[in-house]
Amino acid sequence: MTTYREIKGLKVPYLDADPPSASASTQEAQVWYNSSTGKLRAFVAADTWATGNDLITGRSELAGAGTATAGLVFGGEPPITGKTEEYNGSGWAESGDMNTGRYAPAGGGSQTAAIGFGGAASGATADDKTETYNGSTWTETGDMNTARLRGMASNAGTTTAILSIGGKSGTTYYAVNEEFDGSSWTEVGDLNTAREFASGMGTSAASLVAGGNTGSATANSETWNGSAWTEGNNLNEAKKELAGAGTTSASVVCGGEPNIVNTEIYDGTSWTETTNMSGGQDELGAFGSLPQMVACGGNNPTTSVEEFNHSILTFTPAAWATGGNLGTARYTLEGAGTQTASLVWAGFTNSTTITADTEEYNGSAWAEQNNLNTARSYSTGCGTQTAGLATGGSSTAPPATVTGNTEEYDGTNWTESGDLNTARFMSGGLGTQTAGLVFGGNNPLIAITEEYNGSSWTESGDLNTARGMTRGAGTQTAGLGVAGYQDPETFGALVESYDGSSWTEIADLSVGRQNHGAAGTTTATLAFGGYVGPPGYITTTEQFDGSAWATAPAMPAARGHLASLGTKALALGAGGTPPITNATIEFTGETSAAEASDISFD
Amino acid sequence: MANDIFNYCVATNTGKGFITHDDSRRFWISGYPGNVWVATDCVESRHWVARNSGSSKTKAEAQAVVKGVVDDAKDAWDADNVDGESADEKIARLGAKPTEPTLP
Repeated sequence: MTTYREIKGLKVPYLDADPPSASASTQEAQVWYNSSTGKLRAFVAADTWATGNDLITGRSELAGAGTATAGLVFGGEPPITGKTEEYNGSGWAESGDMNTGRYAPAGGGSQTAAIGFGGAASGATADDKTETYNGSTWTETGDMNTARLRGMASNAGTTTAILSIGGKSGTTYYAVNEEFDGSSWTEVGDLNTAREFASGMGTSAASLVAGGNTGSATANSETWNGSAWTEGNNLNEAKKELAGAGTTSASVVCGGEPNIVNTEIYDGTSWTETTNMSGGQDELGAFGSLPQMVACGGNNPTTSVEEFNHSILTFTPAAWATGGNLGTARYTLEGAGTQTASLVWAGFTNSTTITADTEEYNGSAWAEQNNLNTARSYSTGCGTQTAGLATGGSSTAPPATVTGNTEEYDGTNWTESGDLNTARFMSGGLGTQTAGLVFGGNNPLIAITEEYNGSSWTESGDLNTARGMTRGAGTQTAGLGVAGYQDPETFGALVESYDGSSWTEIADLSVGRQNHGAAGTTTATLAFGGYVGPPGYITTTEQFDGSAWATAPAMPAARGHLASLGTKALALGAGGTPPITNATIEFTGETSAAEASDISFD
Repeated sequence: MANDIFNYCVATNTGKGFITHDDSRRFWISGYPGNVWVATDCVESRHWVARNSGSSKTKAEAQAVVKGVVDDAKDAWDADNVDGESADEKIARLGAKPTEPTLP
């Protein structure tokens, strides 16, 4: 009998417990003996679907390109659109529109070099237009020879080598197949079966088409070897209006009309049914491949997104939840610490009353602590639950008396420390009690930045753009100033990065705002809620990865003027308005973990 | 969400556990003035309403609750004035004047 050691070159490890799911050695088919349970154990890959963050614009009959962590969608309806969105593996960001808005285009390529073609700009009359995308804008290039909509692409192709396969115009189903070389289209070998609304996968040299509408739904699939199509094994279920992505040796297709949840995997020879989508869709889009694919949009239209994973990891999507309610409802309060060891202080309890009230949170409940020495609203703060820093704000209301007063919290009491050089309120803050930073604010609107060393404040480089009602994240040597009020008409989306001496403008938020929340670092930031001008306060959440902002799950209720703290993975918001609330909200980012399984010999 | 059917209720946010992370992952939910909550209509969201002793409403009833609360808040906002306070200062003190959201 062949032994495990002969196959793997390793002995089966004898362990007291399962290895950590996130260890460097975690891999599929890794086997060990768990002496506690007396079982042979292994990490086994499974096919799962997880809900992703919604598209910004709901749509059907859209096209996709790229990978599951750097994807792109474009086109769709209704209404007919050229809107383009980029996906970073967790959220969406809008990019430049196609020159010709269209539904039912086909396309492929990558997030930074994509191609879209065909579709229809109106009615059922197909379009022959082709456009290429460079990561920000679309440019028209050579037209197809035969205009078609609801055609397919070899969507793992490139902007210089891709197929336009089949489709329809009016009442005619096409078997036509054209190849693009970077500037023009050339007719190559036709499909054996004319069809529309199928799934196209692979490259211009090795392509796969499955399912579709030939007048009725078909299970037929064909493969392309660079010169001719050959019929392959059928899908297990006939379906049209499905989506898929991958190559001729590893593909996934899903969905179909009407609202089919069925998913099938292709291994180069045959199709195997696997885990269903959680919500059936038709006329949806897809990008990625095995082991990761994203399916999005669909008929009605919808913004829904699902992520397919073939992995030993189980993914748990990011989400908001309510936390324990504050003892004192308030707004314009400030906070510091982490999601399970938080500190908030001060704020308005009604339109004419400001408080010095301080509360600590343990991850489930708030408890009152000793008050600040100076009650205030719109203060700024940073630090931790046992080493907090509060500075600035307005110490009367109304009218406002702007202060530079600073206090340090030691976990029990507040003690006065050195005042800001420039008194202000509505500023942004970040860092720690011994290395803090305050920037911007109002008295009037300023760009002034000050660093705190544990006892006194020193001026540093100004923001490029003066602002108030802004938020900070990060440290005194690597900080972010996120959005804020620039003038009565501008609900700023500007974001600036601080390097310890000067500020640099970086990628804007998608949605400008003020009086919002922010948490995290310069490379992992969360911005949530706030005021955007009429119609008011928002639930919109955005996440930053160090280079670009993308969508994240919306807060459970719109609010601004709240305390915010924590990290991008574990953030917390407390209090706020409207109406004045004692509610706490907790954000948990996406997580993944490997689940070990017993090996059964039955 | 564009074609979703929603359920509407009035429920008081009791804090931790009122909306869990799993609730948020299972269905879309959003809160509005007057403790009005709107969720994608599904078995899980109906269980959520029951778990939180929510009072189910029709869309019109829920909108009326929101309107009543927001109208009161607008009146209070209009009446809350301080001599010499500028429009910007009033917004800083009170937040923006409430507006009535339209429920989905």
